[in-house]
Amino acid sequence: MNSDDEKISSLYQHADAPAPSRDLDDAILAASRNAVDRPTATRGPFSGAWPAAASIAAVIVITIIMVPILKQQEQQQALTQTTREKNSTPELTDESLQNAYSPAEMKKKTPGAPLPASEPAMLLEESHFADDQAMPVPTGASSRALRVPAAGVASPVAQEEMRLDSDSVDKERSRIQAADSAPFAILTPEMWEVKVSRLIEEGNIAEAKAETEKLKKRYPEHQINPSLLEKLKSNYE
Amino acid sequence: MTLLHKQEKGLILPDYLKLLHKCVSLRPMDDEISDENLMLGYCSGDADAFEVLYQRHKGPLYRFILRQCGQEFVEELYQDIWLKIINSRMSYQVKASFKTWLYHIARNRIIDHYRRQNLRPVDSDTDKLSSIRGAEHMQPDKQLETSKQHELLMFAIADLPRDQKEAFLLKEEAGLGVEEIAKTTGVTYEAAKSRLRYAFKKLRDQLEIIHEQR
Repeated sequence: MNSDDEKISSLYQHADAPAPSRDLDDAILAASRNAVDRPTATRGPFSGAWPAAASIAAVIVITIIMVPILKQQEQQQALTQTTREKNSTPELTDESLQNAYSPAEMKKKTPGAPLPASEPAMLLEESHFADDQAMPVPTGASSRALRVPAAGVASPVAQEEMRLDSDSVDKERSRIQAADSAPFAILTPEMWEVKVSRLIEEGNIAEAKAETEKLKKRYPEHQINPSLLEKLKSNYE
Repeated sequence: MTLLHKQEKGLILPDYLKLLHKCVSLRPMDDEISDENLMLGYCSGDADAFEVLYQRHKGPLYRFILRQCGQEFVEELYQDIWLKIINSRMSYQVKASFKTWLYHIARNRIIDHYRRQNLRPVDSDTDKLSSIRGAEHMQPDKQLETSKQHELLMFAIADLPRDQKEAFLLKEEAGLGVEEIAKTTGVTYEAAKSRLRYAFKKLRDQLEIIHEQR
């Protein structure tokens, strides 16, 4: 820089030096202070746009998880409904009866009583006999009356109770029907002996003999009353 | 807050004076603190640091804008540039001098202004300059010579090409050296030096013409 340039510089530096107005200064300084005081200067972890994105993501994840669960529940409900309907109108087949009176089922019910594997099983509980006698079998009309209560009469809770009662009645009825149609009479050894004794008294000796054989086969460990055997033997001869 | 209020709050006068002395002694003189440290202080929340920085640079920056854009737009641009500085405080890094950063922002804002206005940097004042020359020729009063010289210089500056004017103002107003001018304007050292040399030559020529006319 030569002396002429320095003169120009000097001339420029000594010229008027306009400056910003006081108002402008105040405005800028106020803005600077506000910027420091503003909480946006230190943004917290929950500021910004990511919470909205996270909310949307959470909704999507919950939806993806819940939809299959709800569908599964609906299917289960539908299945339960179907099963109830099936139970309310049972159709007994030979196969179902075989399953119901299988030796495995018998063992479950009376573990102490050995059963021949080849023979069909029979119900052993005496209470079933008593139940058969005591249990009033509802007619179709009464059953329908139980199943379909008058609309608008009973409360929803009462209707539900009535529906459950009718279900249990239907189940019991189907069980009784199955017992009635079973191929073998349900007899305990003692009752069987009574039956044999009655047949002897009636003079049906051959039948009494046959029943005694059946009794022996079904209850091999049962000791048949010796007097009954004696009586049978004497009558048979 | 007055001393009386301090005393009411439990600070007795000697304590207050001690505290004041401590504050004064801990804080170095404002002139000793560099621009960069003041800006870093402002970044960490010290509004007073910004005020010191502002007082240092307000005049030169204002004139830097004024000489290029004229009185009509100077306040708007000046305010915008400082607001840009305020809002950019969190991204401020001491890579270059604060002054370089400040004038780089100012320059970009001025260029943006030109683009928006679709204007030349400043309308050529050749006609004005000619009329002043004529007036000077006819002016007999020597007392007004200096002020007229200043006025002529300003018009001569306004008549400079944009790049040369920018380089001249960065040197005279911002006090930047050739290297800093090169950094601020994004050109090579040689280009900045050349612009500066041409600017001075043109100004010198203009002023010599005036002297010759006398």
